[in-house]
Amino acid sequence: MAARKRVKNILIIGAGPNQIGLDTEIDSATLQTIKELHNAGHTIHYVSNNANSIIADLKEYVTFIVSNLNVNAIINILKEHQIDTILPTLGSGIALELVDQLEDAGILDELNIKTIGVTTTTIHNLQNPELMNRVLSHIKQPTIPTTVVDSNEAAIRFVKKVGYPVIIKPIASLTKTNRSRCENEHQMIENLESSFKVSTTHQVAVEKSIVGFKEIEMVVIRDAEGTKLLINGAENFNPVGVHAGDSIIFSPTQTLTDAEFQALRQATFRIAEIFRIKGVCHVQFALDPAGNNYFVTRINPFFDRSTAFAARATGYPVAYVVSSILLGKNLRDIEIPGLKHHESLALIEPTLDHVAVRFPTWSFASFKNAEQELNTRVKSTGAVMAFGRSMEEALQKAIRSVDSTTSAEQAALDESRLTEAQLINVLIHPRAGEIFYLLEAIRRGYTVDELAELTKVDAFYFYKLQHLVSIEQNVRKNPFDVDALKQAKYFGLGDSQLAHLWHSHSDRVRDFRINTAKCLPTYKGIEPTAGEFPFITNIYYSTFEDEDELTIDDKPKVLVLGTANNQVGTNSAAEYATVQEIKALQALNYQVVLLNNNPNAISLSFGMADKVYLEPLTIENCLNIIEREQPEHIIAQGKWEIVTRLIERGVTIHQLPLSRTTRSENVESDFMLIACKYQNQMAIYGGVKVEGHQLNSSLNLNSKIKNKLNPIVTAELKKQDRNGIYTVVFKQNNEHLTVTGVVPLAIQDTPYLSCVLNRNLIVDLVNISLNNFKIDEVQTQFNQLDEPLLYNHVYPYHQFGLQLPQQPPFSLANGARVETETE
Amino acid sequence: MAERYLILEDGSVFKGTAFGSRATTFGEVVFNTSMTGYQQIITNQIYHNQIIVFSQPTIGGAGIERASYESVDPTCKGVIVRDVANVSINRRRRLSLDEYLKSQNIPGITGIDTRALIRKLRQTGTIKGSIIDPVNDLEHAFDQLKAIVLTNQQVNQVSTPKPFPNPGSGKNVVVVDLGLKYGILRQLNKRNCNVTVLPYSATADEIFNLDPDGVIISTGPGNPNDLPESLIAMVQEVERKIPLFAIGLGHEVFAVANGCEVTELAAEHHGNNHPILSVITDEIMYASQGQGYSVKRGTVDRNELMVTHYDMVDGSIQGLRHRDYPAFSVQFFPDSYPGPYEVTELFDEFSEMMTTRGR
Amino acid sequence: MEKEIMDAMAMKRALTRITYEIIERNKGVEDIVLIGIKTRGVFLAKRIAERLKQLEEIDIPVGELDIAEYRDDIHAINHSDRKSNTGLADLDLQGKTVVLIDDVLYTGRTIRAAMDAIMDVDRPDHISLAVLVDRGHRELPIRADFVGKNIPTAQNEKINVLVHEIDDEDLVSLETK
Repeated sequence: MAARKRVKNILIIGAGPNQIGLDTEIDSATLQTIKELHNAGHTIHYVSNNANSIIADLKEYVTFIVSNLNVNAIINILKEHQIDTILPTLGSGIALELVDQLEDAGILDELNIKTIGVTTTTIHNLQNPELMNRVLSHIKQPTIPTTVVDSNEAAIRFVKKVGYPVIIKPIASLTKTNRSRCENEHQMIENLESSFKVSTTHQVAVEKSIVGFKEIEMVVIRDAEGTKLLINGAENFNPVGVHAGDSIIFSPTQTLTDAEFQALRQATFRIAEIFRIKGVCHVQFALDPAGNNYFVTRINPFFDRSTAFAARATGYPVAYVVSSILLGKNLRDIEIPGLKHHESLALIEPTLDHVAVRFPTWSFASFKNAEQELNTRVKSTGAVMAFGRSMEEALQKAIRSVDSTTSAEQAALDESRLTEAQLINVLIHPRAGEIFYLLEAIRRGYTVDELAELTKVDAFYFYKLQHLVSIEQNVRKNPFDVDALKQAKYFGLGDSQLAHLWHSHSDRVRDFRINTAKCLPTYKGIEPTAGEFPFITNIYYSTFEDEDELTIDDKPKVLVLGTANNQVGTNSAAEYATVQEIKALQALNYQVVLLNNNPNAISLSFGMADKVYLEPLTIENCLNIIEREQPEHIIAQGKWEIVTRLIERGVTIHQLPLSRTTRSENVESDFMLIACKYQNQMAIYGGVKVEGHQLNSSLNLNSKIKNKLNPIVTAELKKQDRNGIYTVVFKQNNEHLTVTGVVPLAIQDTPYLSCVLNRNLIVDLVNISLNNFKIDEVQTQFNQLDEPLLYNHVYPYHQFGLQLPQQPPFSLANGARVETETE
Repeated sequence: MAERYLILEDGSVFKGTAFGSRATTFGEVVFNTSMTGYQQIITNQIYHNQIIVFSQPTIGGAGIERASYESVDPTCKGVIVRDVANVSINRRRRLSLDEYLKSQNIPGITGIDTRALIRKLRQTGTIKGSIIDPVNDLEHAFDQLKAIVLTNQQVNQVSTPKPFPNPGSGKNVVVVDLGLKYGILRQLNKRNCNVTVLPYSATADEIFNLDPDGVIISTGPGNPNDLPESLIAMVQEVERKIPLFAIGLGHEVFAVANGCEVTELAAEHHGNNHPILSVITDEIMYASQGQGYSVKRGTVDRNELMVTHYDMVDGSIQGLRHRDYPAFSVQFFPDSYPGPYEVTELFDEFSEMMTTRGR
Repeated sequence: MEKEIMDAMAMKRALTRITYEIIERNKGVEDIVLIGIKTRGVFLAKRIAERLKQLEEIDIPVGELDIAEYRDDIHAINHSDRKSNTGLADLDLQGKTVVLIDDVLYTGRTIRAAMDAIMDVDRPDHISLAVLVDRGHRELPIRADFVGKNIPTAQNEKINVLVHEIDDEDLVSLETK
């Protein structure tokens, strides 16, 4: 092949603000893809209206275009930037939908624009369920049988072919009607009658019900010459009926026979082939637990939650390999870092010698009125992941990984007080935190088979939960017993859990564990060859086994405490901050050791931190790692429970003066200034206009006012006892200014403010914390942008089926949108 | 929860917990990186006299299925896992792994740091090991382990003593059993072949007397260089006259019969994640592998044989074909019990080869 | 009505087997020239050549034969012109082993025309015939040496061969008129 390749002008369409069902899972892949495409000489544009996007900060690689994601806006961008190539695989379903609309409107032809990664034909076929089913039936891949009938007889004929149960739903109904599940002909006819009545066309859709089937996620990579590689197979704990985003998920698959697994693998390959995927594709299946049949339930030819989990669970650099494919390389020619002595290593199919679990977290403590029952609509606001050398260990670590707010929600649930009826209700209708109810059911003596029958969850898992309960009982019975402790640690119980069971304090347990039981964690590498090859990895998890693989060098290092699962309030801005911290510290020549456990974390991207511990953020783990690594500094974002408790134990932590709580939405304000205080000096960066709930980067102050600002801010910041960056909120009455609030910079606002002030505030905070800051370099500037940017919060109310209140609290936002005034 | 030890020739001791049978066992310790298919792996006769370590930490979650045996009488010497799972008995699963190993008198040991063990085996290569009850006098146990001489008569021990049929109404196929995987019979069944399985001692004339359309030389355990000359001679005679497909150990025998050397691999392949290149189509596929030996590169006479498949990780030869006769062989397991399906079409190739030759 | 006879996998296997058989029947492939009959025979010939190259690391010449002017239902006026239109002009066939390749073998008339065209151009040592599908109903004494698949057909049936190079997919189907 000729070495000279045409330089492309590429547009990457993002997925918009983070919200329920859209964490930062794509951003990690986007970040890596942009770097690889840029290094290959291409010009990259990225369009999004996500205010927390990390991409906005990659100015050296990419032009970040703020725009709403609609066809007209995209057409203007295509023309203005003379785009010749669109990459639609980094913007979830939104990007596919937009590209399909562009293609339909003839724009891609008119402007002679090509897509890479996935073809417009494939996009079109996947956007339309009927076309998709036609393609799938061509390659003999089954989809859920469904039909539209206009009589009872037709419905009965259809069910004769597919069998009960079925789900029926009226077509073109004027009233809001539910899908009803029918177990037999009697039920169906009863339901058909009412459904025909409400259908304006006298038609009803009948679909085979697959509730109770196992839900399996397969991730494949395919290159231009058709070589396919299965990256990961993962198994949902909950059967079909609970959205995969709300289900605990395990990799490798735990209960599939080889024949079942291979059938799904082959189906995945056929699908990647027929849709001519060049890159990554996630295929979801529903597998009949009682027979050998399965249905294809979802095809995502783009980066999503499952591809992110696949990359983390296996240690396989998915985004890096996919970028190489986008650049025209084939799998056989791609070398992945880590394995040194072999060729073609991108082709070794990942195989695991650990159990990885993804564990959803919800924010129902903050949304008390929301329906907590889990169904086909996703409700989780974040997730954690954990690794172990057994399913019990991985699950226990995941349970402990859940942040304090979610635990608090959990603490409110005293399982032992549940009535039998309440418990059974949860067994049949799973709800957030289901696992705790299941454990309680086992404690109350429900048998494995009973639970499997009630929940349709594979009995395998209940044997495991039963084992955990028996370990718990053994621990309870044997306070401060070395063997009981060792067994509990081996299966993943934390010191704090032992302390709870022994009615003791976790420090005492820790002391007993280390000094009496001599039971210390060992660290294992996360790599995709299950130990078959010497693989150089920098990602570790802990367990309690014989061999410890950790190597510690004596370079100066900083431990960065990540922020675990995405939460309302700080939301994805926290991940933004973690990434910036890592970069700032590396610029200071520190080795960055990161502790984090959000499967969607951008900070866990391949090649980001120098070393990663994919571990629960608990006191126990932090202390273990600090003892091993002996970091020069430890950095955390602001105050939160773990940080406070570590400090109580004598650990020195630089808490970046970032507020995890948000600004108050009730403070009267017209504009706010961002200013810093450092060693008794003050400086103002600039400010933004406050328009009700919205921030606007266009702040026009006359010179008279401007002159008043410095003395006021200086006076206000003098009152603050810590160095840091502060938001000073002003109420303006003609030329009279009143300060209505001074608060430390909130994590939530940081990405937007960094963008509009054209200043990386996190870098400054890191330097302030490490006493390395040059405050003289701060220049006061207003209105730096050519076009003002507006900032608004995004809330999950509608996904919970709730009305958006008049004054939604900022602390419940789970994302933020940025737009230009013209939009 | 009885404690048991795994001891290795190099002096290492791993402490774990018993499952399966409580017998004391000796064997070569080999590791397998497959994530599914433990039942097929444990019952595969290639593991005769070997103790299998699974890298996948939780083994047993899919139970034991009646349709997934690769032999009725498995002869592996033990199973080493990190964690053994329990299952419910239902329509699909009649037994748990623990119950099955008990019934077959195969010892297991769980609670082993299998990752550490595999990282060790990766360096030592295959070494002898023993699963024993805890003893005070480990020195004696090590002496016993060192003194054990493992047989090189594995094929003789696992091959069927008598011919048996596996009737069908299609092509007439003779399978020469060196330690046959049932997957081979399943694949032939699917293609409706009429199969006769013969002991490894079958002569060319005995085979010709059955007038087969094709002959398969099966998988099996051990070193091909330990096999009798008569077997090599049989292959040399049969390949000239009848379409021949040789698999696993059969492939190694086919290679020897055509002048290649077969030597021990420095690192054994047991798993299904190595990319395999099909030379003729330039396509890459995956297959289940289980091999301790390999055809030595540079000993293939290019006037006699073509190399059809390579392992892309270490370049080892994975497939051969005769230039002058319709005879071919693969090192990996094309029957996919367990393993990826994409290689099963080699049985279609064999079937079409028989059709063409039959005309 | 149309029925699938060979899918992409089966076509691939058939070409692979034909390639091996060509190697088996010829001691060495150095003297082989593949001639594909237009249109689809050419793509099949190229695929066989690719396979030979993969296995033997040798570039086998591939001719593209247009038999339009040799068809026995057309009586060309100018006989001397027709051979320059076959597309074989650049090939040296003297002393070579020609493997003629077509998608479907039916009456045999196409093959006869192809042989006429070849003999007009040059004098190979040997000509053999490889076809993807042999559907029977020969009208001339012609037999294929290498057959992908024998498909017994009725006169009112039609074999459709699709190749991905021009038809977007590989498929052989049987159509009943």
